[in-house]
Amino acid sequence: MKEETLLSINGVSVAFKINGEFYTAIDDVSLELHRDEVLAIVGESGSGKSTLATTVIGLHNMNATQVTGEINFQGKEILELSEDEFNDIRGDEMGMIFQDPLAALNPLIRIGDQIKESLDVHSDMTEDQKQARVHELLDQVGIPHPERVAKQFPHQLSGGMRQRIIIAIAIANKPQLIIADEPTTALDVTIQAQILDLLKDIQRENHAGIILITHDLGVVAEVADTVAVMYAGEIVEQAPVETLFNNPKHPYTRSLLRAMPTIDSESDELYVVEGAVPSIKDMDRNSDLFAPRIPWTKPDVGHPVLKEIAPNHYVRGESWREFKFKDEL
Amino acid sequence: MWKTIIRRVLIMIPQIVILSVLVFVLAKLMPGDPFSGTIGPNTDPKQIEALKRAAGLFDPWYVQYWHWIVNLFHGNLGQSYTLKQPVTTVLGNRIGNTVWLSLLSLIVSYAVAIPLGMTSGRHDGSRRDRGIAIFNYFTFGLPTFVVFLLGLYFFGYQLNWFPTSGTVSINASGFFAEASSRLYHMLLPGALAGILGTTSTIQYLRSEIIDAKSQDYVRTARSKGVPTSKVYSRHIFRNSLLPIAAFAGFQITGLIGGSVVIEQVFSYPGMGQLFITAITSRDYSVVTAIVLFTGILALFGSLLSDIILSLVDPRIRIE
Repeated sequence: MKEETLLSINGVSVAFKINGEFYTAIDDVSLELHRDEVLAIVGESGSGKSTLATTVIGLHNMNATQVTGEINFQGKEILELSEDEFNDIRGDEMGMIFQDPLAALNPLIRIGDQIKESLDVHSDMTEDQKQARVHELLDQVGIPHPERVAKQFPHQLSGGMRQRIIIAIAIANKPQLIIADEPTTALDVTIQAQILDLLKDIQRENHAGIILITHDLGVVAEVADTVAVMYAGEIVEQAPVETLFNNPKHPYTRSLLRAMPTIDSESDELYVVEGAVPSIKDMDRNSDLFAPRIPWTKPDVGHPVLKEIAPNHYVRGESWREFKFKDEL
Repeated sequence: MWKTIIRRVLIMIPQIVILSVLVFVLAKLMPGDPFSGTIGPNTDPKQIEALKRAAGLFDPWYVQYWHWIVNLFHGNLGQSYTLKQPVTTVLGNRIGNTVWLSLLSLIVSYAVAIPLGMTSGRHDGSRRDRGIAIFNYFTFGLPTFVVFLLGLYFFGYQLNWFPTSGTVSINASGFFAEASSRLYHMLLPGALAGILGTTSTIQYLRSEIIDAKSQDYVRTARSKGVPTSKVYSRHIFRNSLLPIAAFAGFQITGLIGGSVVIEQVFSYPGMGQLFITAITSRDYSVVTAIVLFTGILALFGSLLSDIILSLVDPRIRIE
């Protein structure tokens, strides 16, 4: 899969200002995304996945955020763009799908108009063409009776339908990059599968790249090509999807995979990774950040670095070489 | 849409009935009666009793209530005991004055509060926001009568910019001259009352906007590449004005209630002034009429709020 690079994130760090001081939320992240590729970013809540996505589409409140590093999107250094220049790209060449379909639509505006807004900003179609495109999009995301639904308000639709509307908004201008932030979290399992299929279809059609943010490893196994596992704002392991599932290295990745319930598991109890991601105020960036959650393992000294241990397989630090689960000791 | 409005109007009927009973009973509970102040100490008690009997004051309360309601439907609110005129005449002269004054101050209030609230919410924490907060402390903290008196003294007596009493000058003849003279008389009290009434609107709007800014649908709008100014006008302000719209109806009644002080200070012959006089002289029929009128106005205010809300918010319409 060596195709055209769509997006390359280079040494990006993000810090938020809290009570006048900056705290690092994303630390030196580098990633690449190609056309036709689905890059999944996984991790617990608080691991920085959404922050990273928000950085790529430039939606941080810049008064309280500091972003360093480089993000190159189709040859443009997007961190150097002005707000107006970025607005030309947002919603046109890149679209974002949000996780909460209940809150992500404006309750006072008709569905059709909310989709049309994307076209209003970026295209020079006539009103009739835009109307036709809105119906076409609704049809494409699998909404029956597009003409009728376009005139409805968000509260009149079900959660699954609203999620489809959000997708229709994100893909209105056939973006090259789709960022999907937990697109299926709020939906039940059957709808989840439909939404994932839909995303795949859209991707094939536009040869788009997708960044899929999720904490659902089942979803990852189903659709991703490459997986980056994030913990405390940094990537701890990155690999093609088969490698990651068959040969996970980092203790965090292994813990996550082990915590996944399986049908043929002999145990009645789910595996739990004790503790939680530290708050960004308490992170010591000069240490092995995951070590406190596996206290029986000897931590890396200083701040562990990401190393390529096999082609395209990156793992942070060295402690993984000796890591065993508690019950394997 | 119509279903919502019709349903809402029907709900008002029992509300008005309950209101009228309450108003009537409360008026009856007031100590004293209209004759105790007007009759000399040498009047024969029998004669007083006869007068009271003729006025129906010895009938059971529901009989009195029934008479009152029947008369009400005939447009007869009774006779003012002290002014010796039909209540409708007494009120009729003054309702217009008060309503116009209230309307003017409401317009001033929104004209000042909405832009200030929007600025404050959009640029929260900025120097402008802090300036507006200081303005708010003043309008909220200063006692209204002090502001009215100072305004009257300064703009009325010292600078002579505005008339100091009344509703219209005597030599204004012709529709246009009269209308402009009336407006001129209302301008100072209306503007002062309006500015003092901005506090809650500004604060509401400010916090609504700050709240709306972090809503997911605003992020969705921004992710479409919609320019910031348009995100504000189309997504943030519109949604933030909802509670203000909901409040508008009630604001109207508040202003009419608030006109008591301003009419007194500016010697403006409106209902507020009449209300005070009527209460102190135990003029039941006038008091009940005014209370009933303000009560009904409050009900209409909330009806208006609901209609405005159902117009702007699709979620509360009954389809």
